[in-house]
Amino acid sequence: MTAQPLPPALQLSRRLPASRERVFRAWTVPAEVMAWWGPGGFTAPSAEIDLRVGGRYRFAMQPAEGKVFYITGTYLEIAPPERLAFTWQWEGTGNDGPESAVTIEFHARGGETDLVLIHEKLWSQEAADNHRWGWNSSFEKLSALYSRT
Amino acid sequence: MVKHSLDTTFNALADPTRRAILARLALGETATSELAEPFDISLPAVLKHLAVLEDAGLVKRQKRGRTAWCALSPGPLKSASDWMAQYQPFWDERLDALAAYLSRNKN
Repeated sequence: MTAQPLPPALQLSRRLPASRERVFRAWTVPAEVMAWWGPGGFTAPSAEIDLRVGGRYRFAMQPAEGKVFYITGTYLEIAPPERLAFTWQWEGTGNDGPESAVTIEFHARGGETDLVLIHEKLWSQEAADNHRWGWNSSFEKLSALYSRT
Repeated sequence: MVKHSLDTTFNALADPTRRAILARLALGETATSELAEPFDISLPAVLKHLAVLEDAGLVKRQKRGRTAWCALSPGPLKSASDWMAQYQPFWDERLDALAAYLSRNKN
């Protein structure tokens, strides 16, 4: 099944100075997430991770002044060290907004990693289901569509 | 002025025919009958799509004389692109932090 590429979608990429196994761990081990997710205006006092498809995660974010809030969601795909996908929902911000989805691809580049992150709006439950089952093919289409940066 | 939620906008945009209709209307106001032509579907089906787009505030319909006209109403599209704009600096900062962390903690 091929999922529709659904705008709006945001795509970013970064060359990271570590193997993709190492980068994958930075996203999926609580102590690692807490170490890097924080810096820049807030800290990350807690990170809960239930690393299985359908399992949930919850990352805390604590502004220097202000209440702690969370990013939470469900893992949609876990394929170490190549790909990680999860839903994305703010919690406790006062205006949590709609649920969205994040897909991260880890591409080996020698001893380094090219990380590609796609953050897209989930349009409906049907669209979300399509994504779950058509992630690979939709990713290629999305790459073609949005990789002009 | 009706306030349209992001979800309504996104649901309206989820259909490829509706996106094609919007792309056509981006070129200028179009008669409804003319709008149906490039699509391999019936006029009633096009009207159904137009109703969804109108409900989402993306299209305005107006009858002048014997012709029904459709025009793009881009307000809600701006909210959709704002959604992307708010995440760009967020993720830039997060990925910079990740790169810095990995430089310091190779293993």
